[in-house]
Amino acid sequence: MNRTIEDLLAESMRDEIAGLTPNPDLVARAARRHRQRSRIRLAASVTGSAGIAAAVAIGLTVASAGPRADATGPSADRPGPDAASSGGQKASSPRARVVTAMITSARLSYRLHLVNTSTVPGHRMTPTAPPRDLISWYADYTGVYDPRTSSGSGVDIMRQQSGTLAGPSSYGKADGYIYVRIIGDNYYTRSSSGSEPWQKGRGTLIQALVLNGGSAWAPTDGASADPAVLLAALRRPGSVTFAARNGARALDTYDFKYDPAGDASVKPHQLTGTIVVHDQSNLIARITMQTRVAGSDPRLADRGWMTFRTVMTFSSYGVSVTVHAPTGAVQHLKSLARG
Amino acid sequence: MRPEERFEDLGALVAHRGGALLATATLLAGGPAAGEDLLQAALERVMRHWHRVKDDPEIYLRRTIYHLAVDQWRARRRRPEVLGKTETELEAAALRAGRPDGTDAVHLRLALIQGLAQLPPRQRAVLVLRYWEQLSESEAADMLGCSLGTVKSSASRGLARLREVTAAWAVEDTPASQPLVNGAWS
Repeated sequence: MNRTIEDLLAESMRDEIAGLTPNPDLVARAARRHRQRSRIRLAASVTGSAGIAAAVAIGLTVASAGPRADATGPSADRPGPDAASSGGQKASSPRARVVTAMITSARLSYRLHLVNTSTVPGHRMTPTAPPRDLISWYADYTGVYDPRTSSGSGVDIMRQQSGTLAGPSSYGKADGYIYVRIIGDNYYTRSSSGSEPWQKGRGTLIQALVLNGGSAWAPTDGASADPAVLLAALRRPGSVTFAARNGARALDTYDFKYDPAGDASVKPHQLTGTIVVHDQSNLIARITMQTRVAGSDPRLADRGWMTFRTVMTFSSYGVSVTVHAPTGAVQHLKSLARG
Repeated sequence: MRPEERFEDLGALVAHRGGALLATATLLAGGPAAGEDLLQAALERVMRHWHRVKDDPEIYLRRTIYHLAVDQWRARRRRPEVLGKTETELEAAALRAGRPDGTDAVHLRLALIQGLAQLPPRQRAVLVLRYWEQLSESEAADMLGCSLGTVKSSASRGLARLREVTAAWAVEDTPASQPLVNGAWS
């Protein structure tokens, strides 16, 4: 009797997969990664709403957000934080000074270094293991951005998404890079391996980083691309207070604190941070933010808490920024976009 | 409900049906390691949508495995492993076959499996559904969420490609509906 190729194929398949058994830990592993990604989605939501993307793309809305300020000229003999200047006008409060600094900074291109560390505090690997602050997501991004053209580019150092704050060696190894380009509402990413085409998505820098920090999960709708969030938040009830002045380096530090409302993704929480402003130029030097949140949807957050801390350092104001959309970019896989 | 309790049903499913699920994933992904990754990715996807799973979770999980595979799951991140055996394993398998032509038999099966792994994802999925799962064309179309015509054309192209790959063992230009004439396999 002759055999058809269909018969041979079926026989070959049976022969090839005979005796396969999955790792007994497979479901537990999947559940762990599911929880980790849930928390990362939560982080994306929080960081989005907290305004990291806002600060990166701050210039998208600030053009209409307040009075024009002199971006480069030094303020006139400003004696202290309560007498900040903006285009020759005196800013009468710390809040006004900070808002003015953000508006001023948004009129120039800049170099940005962003470090985000999200942790799951008190995580136990096993029921009897000691609690540790498990790192759920880490990003270390350096790039340039021009808010006037909504374009920028940079590179994110990929690191292992595990380890603890107490054991940084487990995540301290750079194992690759993600190249990022931002053009308008779109981002483009490609890994340093060079074997993959550029991938295109719609969203903010933070979404691009989150999406490439692991594998298939989706950015949440709550990862807002609205860059006005932080600026608007600083104008709402909350507090902005003068913290310190470094006379030698001509830097003023302000503390801020406000309470973002909860939404479908996260419960109400408190966000605190500091903004460091160059005394003479009125430009932002650094923004630090941290918060501790829980998801409002237990399916997403497993009812656990997580913390995140983000430090953004701004420098090289006025740097030249030229970004082109890469050719041959492919849309992110449907599985990534759907979530 | 505690997090670890939420997916107990999935744990039980994998305990009972894990071998078959991994076999499917291995054939779709191109190797055991990639297959386990694919199965794990499917499990994570099902966990994410666990609240939607109303019926048999195995059906949902299988469908997810196929959809991830056809969506070129990780296709841009890694090349599929080349399924197959080492030379030593081939020799051992040939000896087990107990025939003078046993080595040829093993090599043909190896060529088929390697050819399968190199097919486009949809063609591979269709062939796995038809000849591993033994589903009908309409059932395969339902599983993949595509038309009957797509299944037919994918199967036809996939088999045609496998005939090319295995031409050294076959009579040239064997039509799809004709048996592959080779006395060694009778």
